[in-house]
Amino acid sequence: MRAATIKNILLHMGRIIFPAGMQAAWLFCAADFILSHALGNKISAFAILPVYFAAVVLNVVLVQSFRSFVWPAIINLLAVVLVFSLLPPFNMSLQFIASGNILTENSFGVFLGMAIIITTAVYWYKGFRLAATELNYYNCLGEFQFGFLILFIFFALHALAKAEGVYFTPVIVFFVCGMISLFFARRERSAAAAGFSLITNASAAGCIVLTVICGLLLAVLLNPDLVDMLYRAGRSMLVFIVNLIGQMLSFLADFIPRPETAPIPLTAAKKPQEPPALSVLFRLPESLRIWGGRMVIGLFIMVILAALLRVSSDLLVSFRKRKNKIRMNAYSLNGFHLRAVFDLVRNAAVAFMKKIQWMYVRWQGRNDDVVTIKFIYGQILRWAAMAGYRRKSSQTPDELYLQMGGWFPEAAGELSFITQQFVKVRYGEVKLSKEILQQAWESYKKIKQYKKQFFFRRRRK
Amino acid sequence: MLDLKPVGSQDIERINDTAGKFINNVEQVIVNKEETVKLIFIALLSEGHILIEDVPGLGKTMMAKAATKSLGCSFKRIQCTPDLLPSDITGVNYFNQKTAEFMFHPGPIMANIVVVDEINRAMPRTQSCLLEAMQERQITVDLTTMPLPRPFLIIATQNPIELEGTFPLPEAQLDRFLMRLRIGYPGPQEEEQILSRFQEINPLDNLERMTDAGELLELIKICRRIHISADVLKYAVELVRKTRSHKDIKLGASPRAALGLQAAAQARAAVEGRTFVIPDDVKTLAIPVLAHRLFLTTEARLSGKTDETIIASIIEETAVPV
Repeated sequence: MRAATIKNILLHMGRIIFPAGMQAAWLFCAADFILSHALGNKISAFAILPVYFAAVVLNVVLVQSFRSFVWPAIINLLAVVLVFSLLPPFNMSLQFIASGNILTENSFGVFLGMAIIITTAVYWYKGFRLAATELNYYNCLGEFQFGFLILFIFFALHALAKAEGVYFTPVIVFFVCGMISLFFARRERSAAAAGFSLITNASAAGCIVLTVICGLLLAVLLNPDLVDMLYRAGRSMLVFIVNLIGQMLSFLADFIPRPETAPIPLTAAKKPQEPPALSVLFRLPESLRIWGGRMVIGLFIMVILAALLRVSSDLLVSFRKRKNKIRMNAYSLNGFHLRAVFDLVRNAAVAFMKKIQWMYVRWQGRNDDVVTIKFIYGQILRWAAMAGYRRKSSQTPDELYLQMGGWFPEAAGELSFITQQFVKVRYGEVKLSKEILQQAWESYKKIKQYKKQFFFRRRRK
Repeated sequence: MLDLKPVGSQDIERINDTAGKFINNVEQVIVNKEETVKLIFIALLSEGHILIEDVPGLGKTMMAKAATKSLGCSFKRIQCTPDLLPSDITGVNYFNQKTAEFMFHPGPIMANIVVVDEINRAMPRTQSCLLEAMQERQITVDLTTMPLPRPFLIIATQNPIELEGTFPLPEAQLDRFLMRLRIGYPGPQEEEQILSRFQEINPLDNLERMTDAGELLELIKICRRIHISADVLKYAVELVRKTRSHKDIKLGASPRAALGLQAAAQARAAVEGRTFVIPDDVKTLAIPVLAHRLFLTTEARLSGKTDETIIASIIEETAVPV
């Protein structure tokens, strides 16, 4: 097999298989949820997932019902209160949504759980607003952060259920796939003229990591027994990774011929070690724990106040703008934290649906000149972006073609031909003949070939 | 909606051919200003008036004369001075003693192409007499309205530096000019070429006419049928609308500007040999068509911003439909 083909397969793996693996892992997590319920564990997937999505749908319905400016903000706030406090059976399921509440075994009521969830959502929202500037990166980050939400909940629930290492496998797969997917999305993004700054990346990643660490630390301080469970979970994750690496190395080692060696004498099997009592380290005096709990409740109230302050300040700014007849911002007001979580779910779903839709359109329009030429031009735009020739929003196809001259000088003819045909179809609504379409496909294949050659030439340099 | 007949490739070839000949012809007089000459031809095909603005001695009048001579249409020239009267432009009714009746003596406005030299030297009331002619292509003298010959185009020149004894053009009049063009100083080699070309004879005397009024009118009609997609139209409108909400602009471009931009983009597409308009046409023409219609804020002017840089920034901010 040629090296170019192997490289191509690897690139496809990076772009397609890893995000797909992420989705599969997510599904596996959900199946795990349901199975654990069926096996008689105290965690109910049926209580969590429908409520979560029902809250999101209710939010959307309310927002869509009141399209005016002020109402969405007020209605969203009311919707949150209504969903989480008053409406049965949502209020019954609240304790299941609030993982913090489960961690602390009802010692501080629902407030603690909500505080953790809201604080997490606020951090994510901030990171999200920082990073959400590009379609691919946006979707990927949405999935990634949603993964963190699931990771966080699972971590807590599995720790509570005293689950063994095997249960963490999907979470690890999810995490690793998310990281790889994020890497590829970043690669595309950083190839752009206006790439992501290091500060933006670092702050987005920092917010996520800090949220997880703070949430876990808080949970451990309030429930010291949890530390032992976390230790076991961490060890099982480490064992899984080490085993995985070991298996990969042994798989690779099989390809290397080696001399016969004397068999290694078997040693006695090690007894499983009891986990050290780490909880002792975190056992705080009772009064301190009570005060800690009160502080958490205070923090929760502060978060709610901050949210209210943010919404009201937005309202004031908007009123002022409306009064002075200044154009409104692109961001509309919404239910703050719920909106952030909703965006994460929506983006994952939209990305998936778009992919399916595109595949369907592509299949339907395999003989359609418009769909074909748009597909070809779209692919070229994508490759050009990855090579550092991203189209600025104010650039026309002809301007982009001139810019792309430095990308593949040897493919200038093919690029020019495809650009011309795209311009004809897009702006002139010209019907392309079958010969032209065939020629466009040929040019596309040539550019693809040049791209591969260019990739290796650059690598060799 | 009008059911327009699609433009055929023969029509486009005809326009493309005429444009090439026109540019070559004018370039015999004006050295290496192909883009400016092309813009003049685009304005002619859009039946829009042209304002050539630059410092003295760069060939503004020469360019206007070369363009009109190449077209072979009826041509008149008005040299604007502070004592020029509206009747000197439109014409007067005089009493003919032989026939014992009033007769109309047409002014220089009654021509296909009118070169108005140093337009800002005419007094505001004289400038205002051009408003009706420029927009409605007619003049009114003593309660009688007379149509002007078609095509009717005004090519005006003005000097932006010399302010003494001049009257700045009002916004209403500026808005009636489709394009404002600048010629700019020639490069060293171009200047040498000018000197050698004008050493013995004036090349203007040897210019041939490339077309006539009837053919020009036909080409104008073809240009109006050039296809412009909804997205490109939206893009053009967005550019115009952004001039109205820009913080550095007190008075933005009018709907007349949007109409002009559309017509000019159609003409450019035809000149380039296309049967449809692309965003590049709109982008290229945005500065010549829109810049002179803007009225900047005092802060913007004091901070050194010009109408052209602001239009360039608007173009940079506006997403092209792809």
